Parts: sequence; structure tokens; C-alpha cells
Amino acid sequence: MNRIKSSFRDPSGFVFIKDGVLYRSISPYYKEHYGHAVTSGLYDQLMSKKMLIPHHEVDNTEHSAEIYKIIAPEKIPFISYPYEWCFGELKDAALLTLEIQKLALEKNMSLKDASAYNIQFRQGRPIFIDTLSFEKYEDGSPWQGYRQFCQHFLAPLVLMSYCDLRSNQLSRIFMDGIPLDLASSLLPVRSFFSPSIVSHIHLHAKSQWKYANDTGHSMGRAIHIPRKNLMAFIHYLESFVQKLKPRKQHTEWQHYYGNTNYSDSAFELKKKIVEDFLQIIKPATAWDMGANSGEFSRVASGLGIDTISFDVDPVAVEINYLETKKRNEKNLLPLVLDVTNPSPAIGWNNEERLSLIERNNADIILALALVHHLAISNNFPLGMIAEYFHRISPRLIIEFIPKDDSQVRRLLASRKDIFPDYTEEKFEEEFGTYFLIKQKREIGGSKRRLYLMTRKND
Amino acid sequence: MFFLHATYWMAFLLATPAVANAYIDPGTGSLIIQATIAFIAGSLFFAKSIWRRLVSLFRHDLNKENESDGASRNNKDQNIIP
Repeated sequence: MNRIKSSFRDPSGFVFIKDGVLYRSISPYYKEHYGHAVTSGLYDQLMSKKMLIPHHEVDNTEHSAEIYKIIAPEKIPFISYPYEWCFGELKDAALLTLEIQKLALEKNMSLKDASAYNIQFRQGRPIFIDTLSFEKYEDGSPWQGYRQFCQHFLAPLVLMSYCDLRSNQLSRIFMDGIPLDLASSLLPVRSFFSPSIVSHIHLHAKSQWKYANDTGHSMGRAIHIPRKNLMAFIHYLESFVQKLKPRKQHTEWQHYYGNTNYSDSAFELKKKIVEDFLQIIKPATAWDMGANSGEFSRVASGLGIDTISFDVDPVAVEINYLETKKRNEKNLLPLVLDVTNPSPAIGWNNEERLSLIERNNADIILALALVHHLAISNNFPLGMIAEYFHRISPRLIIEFIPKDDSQVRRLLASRKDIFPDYTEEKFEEEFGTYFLIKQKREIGGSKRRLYLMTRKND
Repeated sequence: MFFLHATYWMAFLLATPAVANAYIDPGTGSLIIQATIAFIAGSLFFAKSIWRRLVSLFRHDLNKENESDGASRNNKDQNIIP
């Protein structure tokens, strides 16, 4: 049995893998709570509403004192982390958490934590995966998960709304969400006109310092919150989150498709070529890197391929996500990612949250209108780019845009041309070291080329 | 606006620390803030339901909404702030 590295904080149980299957063990400590979650119908209700990951009980063959029962939850095909989500994804995850807390309270249970890592995306929608997060609710007790909810959800959402959409990246640095005093110090003065922000962030941050050194002062006098007040509290928290909107900021890429030099027919032709290539390979999964708002990702997902759209621009990813919701798409997941600096492994021993490459499940990668940004704007030699793609995928659909194309000329406009090797011939030579070029097509009306490549030695 | 802020500060400063049993640290301060906001939220809810009842006396089409708000009944249990 292989215990998952990030599963250690919760005394209720832990997640492990055995013979390639994912299991969750339940400790004797949690027996009572688990029983209540089952008999009250909470698990059934949440699973039928697709809010909680389904699971079934399995035979306990472990014979260990720390295991009372074992369940097998459905496995999520691709794990993503909160710092890779756009504003809309994080907001939906927050609303799901609150909705679950409300339903739990109705059945006399309460979420004991409110970590953003309790949520994953499955079939285009957020779903709660921490089955053991529910504990019996004692009338009058406060919500234990509130502080975490503010740090994991509220702080990044409010920062993305009032400061900058890139603030979510702070979640990558702090393992337990953004510290409230940091969020408080970053927020502008106009945030003080929002009573909700003042309560949940500013005052909340100050209160943490006020009582940090208070030890024997409290004589065990517990905080008591009547259930009605708690329900009202959650209700107002929910309506506050509901009203949050992403900051309207100008980004480099949001008007991309209006500013390219594709004619409409060339655009459609490019899509057709990508579709043809995908029909040849028939991959199960695809990663579209530098996907912008997902125009070409949808060529893949439209063919039934499970697709992930990666882009560095949070506005583009937001537009993409809103579109997936509008169209009810089940096999497209937009994520924020910088190809030149993909998510590293973080946490204790750098093992708690996996790096992007460790979560790799791509059968094919789409790298359209991407290479010139890497080679010209970021000075990566073509050989290094080829080596990277070769490392992460057995197959590649890649576009080469020559120097005399207006897009590349724009990149070279304000700098010296130090790229003598940026040519079609050199491109084919460098990539040819790692890949076999199966197909090459020109995109009518331009000098751009689309290639279908497969990794050598495969 | 000022009154709201003043209320928060007063309630917050008057509240006392607490004991909590949880596997994550809910933070003493967090519990107090929560209790404060919950008290205000509960009161707002209660006030809202009273207002609705009042308005419905003058408008027959609102009568159906009367029973939906549980907060209006038996709000005897006030909480900790002395």
C-alpha cells in the first residue's frame, strides 16, 4: 500500500493506492461521524446532486488497528490545484463548499475544514472529494472551517477582484491559503467600504494577532452560535461570494483573435487540419498549450477527446471557462499555466502537491502559435523546446510561424534580431532529432506550417 | 455604514476567547469574528422576516411567504456577548 504524500493531517483516515487503485481508509475515530453521514442520507443526497465524489465500500483486508473501514472513491482523471484555476473556477469551488455546508447542517453535520484542495474538477464542474470532512454538528458550535475558507477562497477571490487577477498565484507559495494579514495589507482603501471584506478579511486578520498570545485567559468558556445565526451567517457569506466579479484588467492576450493575421478561411482551414491530424492519431487525452480562449481545444474536445486548455492569461482562461459552462462541456478543463514556468512540486519535502509533469496524462500536445513566443520572446533555443515537448508527450501537433510573418515581426520590432537559427529548415532539423515528422501542411494564404509529429523511440 | 463598523469593533473588543476542539486550528480570533458576524447576520435575518410579515399584512399576495423563514420563530437563544 502506498500512502499518498499529502494525506496525513486528518486523523479520520488517509488516502492510499494499492495495485493501482485509489482507496480511502476510515479510522475508528471517525466511525461515529461516518455512520451518521450514511444514515442521515447526507452522502446519498450529495452524491446524487453530483456535489460529492461517489464512493463504495470495499472489504477491509488490511487488518490494521488504525483502519475501521475502507472505501473506494471514483478517481479523478486529472488533478488540478487552486493556483491553476481562474477566478470563475475558484468562485464556483467556493460556492460549492458553502452549499455543501448548508446541506450538511440540515442533516446535523458540519464541514470540519474548508480547504480548496477538497475540491477537484470533474466533467467540467467542481466536485467535493474529501468524503471524511463531515463531522457531527453539535448545536451551538461554530463552523470550524471558517478561517480556512477565508484563506483558501475569500482572500484570493477578493484580491483577484480588487487588485489583480494574477493574485491567485500567491496560493502557490502559502500551503494553507493566503494569510489574512497579507491579503489585508494588499487590498486597496476602497475595500474598507465593503462590510463583508472588513469583517472576513480586515478584522479577521487583526483578530488573529489579538488572541495569538492569549493562553490561560479563557476559562474554557466556549463560543456559542445558535444554529439560526450560523445559517444566516453562511447565507450572507454565500451572497457575498456570489456578487464577487473578476477585476476588469487589460491583458496582453485577451483580444488575440481579433489581432492576428488569419483570414476567416485560413482560420477554418487551420482548424480542419488540426481535426484531420487528431483523426489520424485518435488520442484519448490532449493538452492544448497556449490555448488562449480554447478555439482549438474545442476541435479536440469536440471529437470526444478529454482536453485540458492551458494559458498564462487569466482573462483568456476565464473566457474559456465561461464558455465551457455555457455549452455544458464535460471534457474540457481550462487552467492557468505559464509554459516557461509550470507548477512545481510544493509542500513538505516538496512532495505534497505534485508538479505539472508528475500529473502528466497527455497523449498528444497542441502547440499552436506558441513556438515563436518561446523562441523569440523568451530566447529558448529550438532544440530545448523540442526536448521539452518530447519529454511530456508522445505526439505533437505544432505550428511554425516564420520571421516574415507579422506576428513574429511584431515581437522583433523593439529588439535586435539575434535569432539566425529561427528558420523553417532549422526548426525541422531540431525537432527531427526528437520526433518523426508524419505530416506537414501549409495553412493556405500564409507561410505558416502545421506539423504532426510522433516521438522517436516509441 | 459607520454604525455597522462601530458595532463590529465594539462586539469584537468585548468578546472573550474560547476553547475549540478541531484537527485544524480554527483560530480563536476566527471564532470570535464568526460569532460576531453570525449574531449580526441572525439579527438582520430576523429583522427581515419581521418586515416581511408587516408588509404582508397590507398585501395579500405576500401571505404565502410567511412561513418560509425559520428565523422568525422562537429566537430566544441569544449568544455570548455579555
